[in-house]
Amino acid sequence: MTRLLAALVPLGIVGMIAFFLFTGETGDRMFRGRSELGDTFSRRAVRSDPPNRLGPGSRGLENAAANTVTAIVLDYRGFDTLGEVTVLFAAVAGAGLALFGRRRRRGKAAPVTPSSLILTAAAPWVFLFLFVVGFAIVLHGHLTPGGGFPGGALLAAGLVLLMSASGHESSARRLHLLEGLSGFAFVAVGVAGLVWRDSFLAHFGDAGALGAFWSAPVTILLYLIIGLKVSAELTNAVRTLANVEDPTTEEVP
Amino acid sequence: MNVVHLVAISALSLFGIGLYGLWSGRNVLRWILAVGLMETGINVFLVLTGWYPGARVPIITESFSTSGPVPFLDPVPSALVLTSIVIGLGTTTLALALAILHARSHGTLECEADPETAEVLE
Amino acid sequence: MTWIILLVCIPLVVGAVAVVTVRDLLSAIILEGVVSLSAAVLFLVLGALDVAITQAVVGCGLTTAVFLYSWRRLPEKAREVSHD
Repeated sequence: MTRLLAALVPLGIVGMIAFFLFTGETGDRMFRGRSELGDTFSRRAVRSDPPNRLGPGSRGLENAAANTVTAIVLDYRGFDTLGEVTVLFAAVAGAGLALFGRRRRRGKAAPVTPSSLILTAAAPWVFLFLFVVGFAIVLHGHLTPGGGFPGGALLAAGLVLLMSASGHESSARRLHLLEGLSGFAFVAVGVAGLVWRDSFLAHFGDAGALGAFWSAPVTILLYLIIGLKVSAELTNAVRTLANVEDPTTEEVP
Repeated sequence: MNVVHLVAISALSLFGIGLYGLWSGRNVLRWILAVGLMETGINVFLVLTGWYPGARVPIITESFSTSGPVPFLDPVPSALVLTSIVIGLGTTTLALALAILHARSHGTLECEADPETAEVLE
Repeated sequence: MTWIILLVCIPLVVGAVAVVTVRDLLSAIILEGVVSLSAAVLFLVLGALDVAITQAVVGCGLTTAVFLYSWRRLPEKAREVSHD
């Protein structure tokens, strides 16, 4: 009975959604693909009139990042991204609090399992590779797909690898410092946009020519900050979950 | 019925399967997995709303030049989904931490239904 | 182009069904990774490259890693297959 209900209710809900999407006017509007809003963002014409020509080398744009998604995430919807980074921070901090809480003061660390020879020997080289690729992805976020989030995740993967190879965790204090500093830098860049331009996190200064590496310098800076913050955040998350004490020695509180 | 509708059905069924997993099991870790499935389905659906046959990648490359409407995939849902994926990782981490706490205090990941609720369901 | 999109949808849905039906927890976690990877390929085919890369690295790679790390830290009894 319970199982049948569990199968029928989702089927009903999904069927209802599908019915409304595929039959009515809503579906037509939803699957038209293009929207005026998206076109406005694509042409960088939110705050001013659209430029005459949009292409490589265009100057005087609102945001000169060649990657439209980057321009939206870091400029037009930059405040949302700040909120996203805050949510990530809060979630990771909450996980750490839930798992360690008061227990951290006792200094009881998780038992260290010795790492295999293959891991210890290969870790520095793989870390080097991940480090270079991660920073390349972060720094080219305005030109190519990728950017701070996947790049930062790659950096975090390298750090985690190094951590599990060497057996001892990297200094938690340094990670927290990196988190705090990059969060502060994000807000500082936002306030600079508020001071020199009209809105929080607006692109200030010379935007440069679209498609060049030194275009949209504020966007590059923001993605670098996000990359560092995300790498610190995710390393912290994995460290938290990996360092939980061995449950067999745990007494039930 | 075209490609858009078929992918939309896949995304919706992913959501439905996740809902079923959430509803049918009693294992906390499975709930988290089910929520992850629902999330993936919604992400696919959102990106799909901006897609149309022949849509180009929303990056201005060497050969691109236009003065009229831009033939891009709608970049707004893409930006939203980008945010959603990263937040999904954060919430999953928090949920897993809570699941570990539950498993430690109860010795198991199974959650027992409240007796009164179970009575109603039976 | 069309058939690639449809081809990617198959592991997406089949993997999702497998996640909720398979009995072993570890298999379910790995299958969730498969679903995420199929979603990443689907994003790639649809042309949302940023989303595809993020989904592959964060959604597929790191989420699975976090799941595996926490699975390893579960009490022995909790890892067992449920009998309901």
